[in-house]
Amino acid sequence: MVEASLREGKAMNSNLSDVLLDKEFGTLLEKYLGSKEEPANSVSAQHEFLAEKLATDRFVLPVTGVQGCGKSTLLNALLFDEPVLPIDADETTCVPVELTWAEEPSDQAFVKYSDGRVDEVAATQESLELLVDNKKNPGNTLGVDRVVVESSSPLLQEGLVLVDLPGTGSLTRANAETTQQYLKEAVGIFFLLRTVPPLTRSESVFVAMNWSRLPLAIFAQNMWVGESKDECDEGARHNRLVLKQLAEKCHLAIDTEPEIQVVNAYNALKASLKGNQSLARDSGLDNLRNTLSGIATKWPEEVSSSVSALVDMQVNHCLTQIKDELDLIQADAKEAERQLELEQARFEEYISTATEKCEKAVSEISTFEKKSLEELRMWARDIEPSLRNSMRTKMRAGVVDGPRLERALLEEEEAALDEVFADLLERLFDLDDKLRIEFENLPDWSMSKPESSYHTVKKREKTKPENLFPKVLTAGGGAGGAIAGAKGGAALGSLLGSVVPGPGNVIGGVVGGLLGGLVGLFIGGMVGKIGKSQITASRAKAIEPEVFSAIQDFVRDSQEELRAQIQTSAAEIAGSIGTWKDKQMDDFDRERIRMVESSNADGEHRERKIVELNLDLEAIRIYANKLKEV
Amino acid sequence: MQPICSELEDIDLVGAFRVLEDRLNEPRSYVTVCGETSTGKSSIINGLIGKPLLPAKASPTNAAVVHLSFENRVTLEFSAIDRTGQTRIINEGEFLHLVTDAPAELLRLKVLLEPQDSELNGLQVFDTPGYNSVFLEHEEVLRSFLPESDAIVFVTSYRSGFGQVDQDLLDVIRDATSDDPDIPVLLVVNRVPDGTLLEDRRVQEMLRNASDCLRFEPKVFLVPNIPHEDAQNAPAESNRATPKAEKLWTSVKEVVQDQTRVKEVTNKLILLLEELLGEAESVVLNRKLVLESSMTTLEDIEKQLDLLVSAREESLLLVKNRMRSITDQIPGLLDNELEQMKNTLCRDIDDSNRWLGADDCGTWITGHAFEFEGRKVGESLENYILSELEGLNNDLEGIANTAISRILAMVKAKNTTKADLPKKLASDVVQRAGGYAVRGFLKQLGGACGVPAGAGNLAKMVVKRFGRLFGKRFGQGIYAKIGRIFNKGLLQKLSVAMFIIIEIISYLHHAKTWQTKLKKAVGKAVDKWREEVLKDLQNKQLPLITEANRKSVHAVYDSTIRDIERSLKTKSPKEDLLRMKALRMQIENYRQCLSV
Repeated sequence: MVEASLREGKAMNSNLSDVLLDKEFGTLLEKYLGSKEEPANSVSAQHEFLAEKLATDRFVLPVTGVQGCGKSTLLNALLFDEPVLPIDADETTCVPVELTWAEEPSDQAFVKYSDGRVDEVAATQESLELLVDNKKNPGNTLGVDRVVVESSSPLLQEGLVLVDLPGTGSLTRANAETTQQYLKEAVGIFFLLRTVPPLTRSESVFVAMNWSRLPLAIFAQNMWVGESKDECDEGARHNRLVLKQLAEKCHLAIDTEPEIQVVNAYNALKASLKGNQSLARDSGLDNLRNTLSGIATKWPEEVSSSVSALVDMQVNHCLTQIKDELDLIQADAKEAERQLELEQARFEEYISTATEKCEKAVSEISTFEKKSLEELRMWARDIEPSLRNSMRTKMRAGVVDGPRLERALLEEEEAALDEVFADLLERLFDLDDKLRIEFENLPDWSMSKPESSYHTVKKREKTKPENLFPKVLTAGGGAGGAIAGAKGGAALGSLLGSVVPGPGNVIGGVVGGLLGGLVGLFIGGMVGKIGKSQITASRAKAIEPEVFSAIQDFVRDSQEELRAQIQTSAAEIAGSIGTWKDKQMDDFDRERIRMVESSNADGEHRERKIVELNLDLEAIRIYANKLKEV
Repeated sequence: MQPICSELEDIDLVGAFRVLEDRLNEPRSYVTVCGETSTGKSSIINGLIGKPLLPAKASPTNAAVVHLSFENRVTLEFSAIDRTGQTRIINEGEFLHLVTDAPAELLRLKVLLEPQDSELNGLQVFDTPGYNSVFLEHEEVLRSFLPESDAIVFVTSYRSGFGQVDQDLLDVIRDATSDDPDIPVLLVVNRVPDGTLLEDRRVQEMLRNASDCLRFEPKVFLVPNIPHEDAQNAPAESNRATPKAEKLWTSVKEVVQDQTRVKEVTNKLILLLEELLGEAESVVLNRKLVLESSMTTLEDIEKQLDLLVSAREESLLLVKNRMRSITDQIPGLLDNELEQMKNTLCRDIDDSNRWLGADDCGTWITGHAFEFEGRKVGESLENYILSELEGLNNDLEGIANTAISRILAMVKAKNTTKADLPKKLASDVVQRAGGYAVRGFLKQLGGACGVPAGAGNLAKMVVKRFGRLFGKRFGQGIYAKIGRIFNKGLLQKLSVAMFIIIEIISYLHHAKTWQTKLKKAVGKAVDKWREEVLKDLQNKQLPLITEANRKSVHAVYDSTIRDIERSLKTKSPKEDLLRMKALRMQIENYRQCLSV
């Protein structure tokens, strides 16, 4: 049943792609909807982009959780007949493990090294442990980039790829880039929580960032052996409360309380090893499996229905525009003039509303920038003496050995960064929310369809179209520096904005892009790069200047990076609003020029124009019918 | 103002007015002197008195504060105040005895003396017990004094340099004065060798360290060494020379007499008095409105009263249940966290070099890892409690809102024009929940260690700490503060528990066994900490938070309920009404006086 519907879904996608990739179709739409200024955002380019989305048959769902939350145990239970992922390494996994489908899974795991080498090892707990466990492969000295393990579980058959990511609290940042890549590719995220204790600050930051930028978030809570049902219920209640507060803080619009599935990973594994069905049910394994398989089967369908909705919208928009033009060209001169005047008046009213909103938005953005920078300055002013004192304490206590001292400093710096990061993030979410409210109900300029429902953006809705393009939102990242990440994210975000109309979406796209940059920055670990300094001396007095200068460098560099991040964010968001407004003016100008041309056309020229419009109308109707069939 | 208050039979208001009026009529400045034991604090103060009144060597466990009150035209008088608040006049001999060896029940010693210099009239100097991080009690005493000081004198010793205890103490000072970071701190480097200048390397190093703690650079005062103090045979108390610290005390004088500061304080006191007047007026108005009601509306008033009473009961019950559930959850939460902590620490030990790593690993654990991991545990507990409390706040707000909207709905349904009282009730509750519960706050003040509320900063504190009782601001302000203090307490207990590890460090020399031994010690230390933390949370912190929440509920509902009840019960409504009208006039007059 499931398979049949899926095959149908995939077939449908390929037909839709055919239409999308039809150059003539693109050119035709371009003629009426296109903008001369930005060839990169031409209708054809948009269509290629959408077709690419349709072709994807890999849906990456990273599984994250705090260290030692039972992730590996649960994944073993979900995907394998006997445990393959090393369970003891759960706390210290330092390498992402990709779990992907194969009809006949290899008994070998594929190991990809950062230098490009590919190797195979037996897909067993013992041999994998040597690679992914920080104890066996300290600091990932082996340079493993990722490990790919195949599974024949039906859960993965439809293209779902689960990735066992290193714990968010893990100090080993050697694989930050790979982790980041997986998060870029992700369509959603799966968080495994513990009953207690609650999320730490850096975990909350991580959850908030990903929850907001990915359309799909699944929360599960691992019930520990020995935890009573009461404890577990109480834990779930508290976790829900925390997630709800987090969502409120970050202005994520969630309509219902976040759902948390309770599983007992230990029993789940036992159930799947012994084929014990009632235990599989009681442990929560079945429920979780259902949730995941629901996602796997529904995903392609959602992508295609959203893509066709977008294309439908373009087609309809184009059709009305041609019809309007025909009406105008066939009307008498006086009527045409009246029409044009009416149109002009309507546009002026529209653009004055838009301008007012844009101005308000720009002032919100500058407030955001000012406040964030002020907060950053205060943080920097406070954190430097505080770090110095904290290191003085450690040195007084006798921690003077170079590498030890360096690690202590890194840990303290990381904790310090978490704080400022959480604040910055909250501000960015707040800004996004304010802008969305500002632009609520303000559609793109359209001559004929001011009431188009697709154009308005309400709140952050789970079903908003941009959600279907998570890849767009996650581009960028810390690898190439914060600013590059933010800019890259913003650029792709604005491309998304041009695909899905409405100023809210443009902003949403850009903010999403920036978040992608921030995630990269966060995961990439600014500390690792910034705080690096060779602390070598081994007597407290001799070492103090070195430590203090490392602190100074850290504070200066992280302040600079974050300042750049804030300024880029502000500039990109403001820029996207400006671009959006300019586009509305352009669109109107283009329409007007054509309309004036049409209404002024006479004699043979006029006849030719009418024929051309009718031909285009017919051609687009044919495409519209094709689209309806698929 | 007295007659107004007594007419209103409102004890809290009477107390609050009295405190404020006292401060306005008799301006005083409060200076707190603190520093590590044996830095020579007392001799610095003797320099101010002009004779060696305070003995130099107080036992470090002595937690009694000596309060020197300089008043013109008084004779030297000593008194002892015990923890129940009882004051007893004592003689100098007794004083000297108590100062060196304070019994547990002694709270404070007070000396009333005439200043050598009339400019010092009204100056109140508090000599706090020598700080030593092991004695938590000292910190609590300090925390109650510091925020109310007009100036803080911090004494360090040149000889011992700026140590961990100094750093910890300055951290406490910064933390306790975070509401008023403008309180000046004067750094005294005591016992500098003759000829030492400010540019001296050691002095500069101490200044840097102090500035890092305070986040600003304090003014530095060098006080020279007194040769006698170094001698093996200390001379008799009475002959002991007092260190010269004129510059310090001149500077203190300047600070406390700074006109803009004094003015600022006065203005804030007046502002507070005006707030209190508003409170009093509100009481009068409530009673007036009830008294003016006719029989038919009286029924409604009773119903509205019921709504408020049941909202209060519901709130109190909610507080009780929620706090109980938090209390029940804590042990499990803590155990999980501690398990993680042990694992991390044991992993560090395992990862160390077995042959060469013993010393290094031992200091790593005691110097960083134990504290760092412990802090994470503390933060996690704090996160848990804070998010639960935020939830509780929301629910309490919900109850208040429901009661208010019901009261207002009654008015609407009846379509009566006589809606003044219900509207007033609603706005009372909203206002109180919104942070105008001045009295509730002032009432708490007298509490902590019976400190005489310091002038200016009292006012500042009240204004700054208003915060909404329910809702976000309260949640983030006050609760964050509770959290910080609570976390600090946990960390201090952590360092005590760590002694278990420190004790065995010197025995770690066998390559074969040290890791096992160290892990065992870590396990023991963590367990000991667990015990302390649980005790502290269950017996102290959580009951405190519960009490604070109960107080908030009472502050929101009590006085309104009481005012209405009292007016409903009256036997002579007509006379009462006349009296209330007269009171309103009086309040108005008083207000006009204040504005002049």
